Amino acid sequence: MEKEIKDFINQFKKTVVLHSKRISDFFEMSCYNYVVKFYELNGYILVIENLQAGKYRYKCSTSGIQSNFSNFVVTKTIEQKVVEFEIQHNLAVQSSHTPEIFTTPDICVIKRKGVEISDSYYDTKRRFCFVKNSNMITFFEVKQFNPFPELVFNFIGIINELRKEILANNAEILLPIHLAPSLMISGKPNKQTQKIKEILEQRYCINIIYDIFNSGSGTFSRNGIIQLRTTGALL
Amino acid sequence: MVKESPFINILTFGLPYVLANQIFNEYQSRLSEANFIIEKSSKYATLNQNIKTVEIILALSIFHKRVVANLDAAVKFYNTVGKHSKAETISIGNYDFTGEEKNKVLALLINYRSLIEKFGITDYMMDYYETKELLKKIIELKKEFEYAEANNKKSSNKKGNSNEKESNNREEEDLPF
Repeated sequence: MEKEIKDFINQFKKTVVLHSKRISDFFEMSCYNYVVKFYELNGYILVIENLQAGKYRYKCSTSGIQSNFSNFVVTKTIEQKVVEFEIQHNLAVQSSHTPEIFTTPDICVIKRKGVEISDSYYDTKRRFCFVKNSNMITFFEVKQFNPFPELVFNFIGIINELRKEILANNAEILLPIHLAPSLMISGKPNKQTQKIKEILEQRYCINIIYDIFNSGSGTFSRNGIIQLRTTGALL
Repeated sequence: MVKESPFINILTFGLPYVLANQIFNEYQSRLSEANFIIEKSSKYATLNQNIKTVEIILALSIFHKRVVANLDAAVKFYNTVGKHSKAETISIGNYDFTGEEKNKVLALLINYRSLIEKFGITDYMMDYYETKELLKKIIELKKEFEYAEANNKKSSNKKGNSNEKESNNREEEDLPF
């Protein structure tokens, strides 16, 4: 057994080493892929926009102009009306309390053509891309960690800043159908972090999804997505 | 006498320091815990004869979670992009994940799957939070192999076919227990 594993590692060492530098980007892509899959399973038509020289350019940091990166556009026709949304990565979102401050969730779904550019955000002439809070539909935070209490509670801080209505339990139901803001974590929970998830999901209309590599394909399957919270208030 | 390098070092050799360190620390911490459990609890004492196997499966499970699962995710995203556009490359910073690179990763994943399946290791085994959950699963795997081995011996004895015995012996050499 040991020898065969050594042979395997020697055979693929170069590939493993080359790609291991991008492990956290791959994890974020995996979560983005699940969000895209949610829309696909809900009957949206998916299109990719902003290919750069024929390549899908993934925005893996907060800096950069959004139009220089690619993203998915999801479209659905409801009662003869076409509705369109963009699934963006690393786009700054305006606070729901104060319009001058922003934070950048890993993934967010926004109204079509909702990205705006500001010249006054930085002291220099550097441009800053953001979406107004009213144009943001939902968002997702992605963490490649084992869950621990502070990590999960930090997410509630982001909810407070970007969707304060959720904490007051009077958030709007945004149609056709969108996932409620969600925290996606790679690691498996222990008894305490599982309890925190259960309590927070009872209290607020959010999703906390643990163990994304093992549970992801089940959670984002046709039957699994029915269990996920969508935007709105808790009953 | 030269001290043998931990098995995990074979898997982490050449990886970026931060990632290799995370893997190594998790491995060392879980291995100490596993050794303690095996030594102190009669329920897990059966693994005393299979410490090397425990080390290898533990190392593989951590490598699986921290490296292989992410590579698998990259291939899946590449396929999604390919399904909805004509793009054949995903650009991540200065790096291009091309079709050729995707195929190399896919080859790695296919070989990895067939390797672990050969030893009866499934995704179910890799899915654990506490180290003792993994030890329980290794004990289950050991029982399955012992049961299969006993059955093989019975059928070989009945047939009395020496050629078959040789072939069974060769297969047993490949087993983790």
